[in-house]
Amino acid sequence: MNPSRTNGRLAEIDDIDPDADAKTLPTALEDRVVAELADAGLLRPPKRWPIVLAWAASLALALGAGFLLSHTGQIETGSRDSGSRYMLLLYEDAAFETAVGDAARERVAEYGGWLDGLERRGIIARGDELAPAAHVLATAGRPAPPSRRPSREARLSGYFVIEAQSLDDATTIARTCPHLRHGGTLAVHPIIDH
Amino acid sequence: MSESAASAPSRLETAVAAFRRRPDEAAFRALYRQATPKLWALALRMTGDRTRAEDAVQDCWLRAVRGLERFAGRSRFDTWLIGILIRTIREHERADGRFRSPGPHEHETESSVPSGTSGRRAARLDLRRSLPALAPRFRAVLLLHDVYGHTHREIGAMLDIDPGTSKSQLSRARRALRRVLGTATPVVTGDPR
Repeated sequence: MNPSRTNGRLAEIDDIDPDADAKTLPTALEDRVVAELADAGLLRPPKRWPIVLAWAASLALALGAGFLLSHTGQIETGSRDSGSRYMLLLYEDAAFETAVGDAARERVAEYGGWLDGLERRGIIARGDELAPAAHVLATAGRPAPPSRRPSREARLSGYFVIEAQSLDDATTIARTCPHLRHGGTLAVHPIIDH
Repeated sequence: MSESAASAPSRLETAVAAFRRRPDEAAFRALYRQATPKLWALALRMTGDRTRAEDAVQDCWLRAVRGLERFAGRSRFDTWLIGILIRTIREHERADGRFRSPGPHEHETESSVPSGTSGRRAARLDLRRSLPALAPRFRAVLLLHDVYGHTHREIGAMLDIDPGTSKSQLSRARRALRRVLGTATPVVTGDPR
């Protein structure tokens, strides 16, 4: 029997299921590709609060770790890979002590040191500084509800994502964030994993 | 969860834009996960071999990231990426000496090919092995048009050929595959380009 045809196509071609083929993608291939790109220098290192001044980072780390240990006795040490994720939103308003020049660089190093301190304790964390400009989205034709509207003074200036065992645990960790020591405010949001 | 055909490219374009803004590992992984399933499925059928498909996809990404500056956004990113994959596979096969220049089989007509003795079911089972017996360009046009539903215009953009050339190559690819499926021994046809 010859191969069957439909409008010039070979009916046998219909037996190819691209979705089924796609599901056979080897998971290990992703790491191989990433490793090759990294070896070729084609990937930037992950962004975190940049450590601008090494000495300041060391100092901040020492101070931050000491602060953390003295104020958060209930925080467990060790691996937290089974915890949930929480987003810490950092706000700045008129009460926030702004820093410029060297002071700003030291501030960045201080926040970076805090992150390093968390990671040394096995708390997975990352964060970025946000640019001042933002688009606030709401249902078309209606203003954003107050719960989603930033206050007139405060602006969202950065965020951290951390892993913690509970909201209380995340809040305890958040209380150690240097942002609060400089007059900033901070909101802790549980992240819903879908 | 299924995605509509319309939303998939926009997610991919978003991932491309994010990676171009900040080409770090996290952004690449997001881009990789959007684009690779289709690349992989195509590479698997193009090569008929998992190891060759992995090498092709890996090399494709290396070339794509290296050449990302040249992606001007005039075509869709997945179109651009598939073009790189097809060229990569062709180069790998040429390097392996798997394909020679056009030979007499390419000019055979359907009527000149002996009928196969195997049935439709056997032909189906042979399809995985038979496809790689076609020239890379034939394979690519056949799969992209008849399996993935791309138009000749899209295929032309992917393979850097005229849409009319894509159409004629599809006809020849179907004829060549019909011939391969109809015979017990795979026929190696020359790469038309």
